[in-house]
Amino acid sequence: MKLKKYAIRGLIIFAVVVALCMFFSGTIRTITTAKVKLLTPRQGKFSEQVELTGKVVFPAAEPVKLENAQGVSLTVTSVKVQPGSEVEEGDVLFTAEIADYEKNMDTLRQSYNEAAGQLADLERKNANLRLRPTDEAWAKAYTALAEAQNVELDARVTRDALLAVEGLKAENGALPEGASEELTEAWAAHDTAAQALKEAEAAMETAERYNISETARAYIVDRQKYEQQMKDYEGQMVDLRALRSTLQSVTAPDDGYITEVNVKAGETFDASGPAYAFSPEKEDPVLRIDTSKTTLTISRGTDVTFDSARGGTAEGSVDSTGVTVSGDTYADVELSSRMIRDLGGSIAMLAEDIPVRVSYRSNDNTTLLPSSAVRGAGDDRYVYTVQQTQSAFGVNSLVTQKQSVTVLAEAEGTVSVAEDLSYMQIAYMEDREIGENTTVMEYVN
Amino acid sequence: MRTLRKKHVISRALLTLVALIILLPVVLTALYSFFSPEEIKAFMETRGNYDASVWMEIKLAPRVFSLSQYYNILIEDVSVLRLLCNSAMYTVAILLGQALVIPAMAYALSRFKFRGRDAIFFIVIMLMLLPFQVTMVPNVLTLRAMGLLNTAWAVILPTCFAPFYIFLVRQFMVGLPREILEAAEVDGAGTFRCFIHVALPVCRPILGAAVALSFADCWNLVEQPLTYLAGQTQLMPLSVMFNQLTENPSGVEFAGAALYILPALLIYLYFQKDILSGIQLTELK
Repeated sequence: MKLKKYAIRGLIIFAVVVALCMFFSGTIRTITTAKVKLLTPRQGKFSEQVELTGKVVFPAAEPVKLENAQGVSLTVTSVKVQPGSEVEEGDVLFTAEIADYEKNMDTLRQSYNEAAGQLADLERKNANLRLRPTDEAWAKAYTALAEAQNVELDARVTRDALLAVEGLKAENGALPEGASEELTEAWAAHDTAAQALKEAEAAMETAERYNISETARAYIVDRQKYEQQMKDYEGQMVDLRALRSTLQSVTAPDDGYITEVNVKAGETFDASGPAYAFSPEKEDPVLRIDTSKTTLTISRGTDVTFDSARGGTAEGSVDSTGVTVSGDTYADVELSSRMIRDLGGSIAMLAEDIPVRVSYRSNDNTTLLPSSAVRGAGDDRYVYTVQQTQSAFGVNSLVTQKQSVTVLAEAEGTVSVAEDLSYMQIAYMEDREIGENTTVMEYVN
Repeated sequence: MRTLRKKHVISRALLTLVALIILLPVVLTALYSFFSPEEIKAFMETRGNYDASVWMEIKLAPRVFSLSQYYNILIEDVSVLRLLCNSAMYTVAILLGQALVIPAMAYALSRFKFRGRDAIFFIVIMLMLLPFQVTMVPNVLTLRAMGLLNTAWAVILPTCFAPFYIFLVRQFMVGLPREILEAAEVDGAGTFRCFIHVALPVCRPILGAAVALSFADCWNLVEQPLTYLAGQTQLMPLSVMFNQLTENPSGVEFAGAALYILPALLIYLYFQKDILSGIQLTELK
């Protein structure tokens, strides 16, 4: 009897469980199943307006050094321009003075006088010495030899330096193969100088046969030395004076823009570095927009609207794109003189970053999806498509499938992907986390 | 005595072994119902794709104990439960029909003498001996003519007339002492009252056995639904749909089978004594 009771109870419990499950299964399933919105992707041209920043850049700007002031310490007295200044040829950029000009001048004058005094002493000591024609010929050959040696030395140094730079070696005195044009010219110049030196040495050898006395020989050598010293000091004084005149007003070499100023009034300046950078007027500046922070592929022709710090607004389009050395992408918008004026001038534009609105519109039709439908990061981007599956008993259910996508562009709210997903249904806006092969339900209303 | 005991030991050991082998599918069914659907799916897909030179793997423990199969059947997709209800509906309806037909017919064939009784009994025995396939076509034609084909009645009505159970009960009733019924008649009981209040209570063991055995038949109907309910999947009992479950592994076969076994097991437990005593009594006749 006990067994019968158990059996009856078991049957009743079984029937109750089955009945409850059938009654509440729908409710439980609704509670436990992830709800998603289903979307049939549309094809279209991706358009988006993104906020970026840009800087005014002068692509043709070149740094300018004060070549004639190399090795001279300068003191800047006044600076007339600032980065972005538009200048005309001859406009004064800044003024400077040579530090210790008077002292340097005095030193040179003193050295010059010293050499002149030594030459006078030499002339006085050798007042009785009468140079014969052969002595004069020897002196001439001696001078020519000294000059030829200097010329040959310069030419040799130039040639050997170029050989080292190009990684070549001169074998058997012949020009090595693969030499550059510059090296070929240097090689020819040295050959000429070496030939001249040989000729000078030959002339000197001939002159040595004239039986020149030691007294005459010493006189000629010393006189030439002092004369050369005097000539050098004189030249240095002339250069220093000319430099002073030049530096009293450093002027613009051409019409254009000053893009960089490295001098400051009241401070000393090392002339080995560039004093300023200059961009000729015929080369327009560009607004370089940093596009590395957007996934949009900004290409030539993309419309751009930008505001200046002073409130002006201008419209343009991307003229070129590129990548910086550090790998960041950028897009350049050429700035005409009028645009620069509208935006408050180049000085104001150079002063700070300029906010830019880029109106992007793709050239080709792509699949457009809401951002929440595209998952993953980096190269691993995917969506969950929904497929209807049928159980062995014919019951239909929606199951998610992972579908990798190639993101072409992404902006706030919308993602453009390369794959054609128009025949699929995409799950998004789920009410809980979903994964691959997850059974989902569609939101109703 | 010792020899007898030795024989008992050997026979019990053999019987235990046989019992274990017979029980193994049931035990494995219960065990596999606690495997995760993915694991059982993968396991089922290895069917027909095995190396004959090595022993086939028999999984005895799941990687992770899981009630997912039961959850899938009871909550996720209640199709199995619907089919289980279909099975229960057919079983209850057929048993009710048989309860009306079989005892009455068996009583008539065993107690009354009328012209054609033996012929009818002969037909019953003939029908009992004929396999289903032989009577299938006439049944289909008849049901079609009656407009019952592809309805639940097509399964219920023909099965209500079960020759084997008529024969079984009739044979039991033949052996009932005539005095019991005569005493009832003397006390003023009519034929129907004698049948209800005397014959049926006395036949309770064999009726219990018949109900239990008939339940098993009805619970496991396959040919009848397939023949009479072609295309009516919503009317099919679970026994038929199990075939589809195993063709396309869905990972819930074993939980479904476990649930399917349970009612039959409980019914057997309920009628266990009646089955044994009914069969014993029939044998004694």
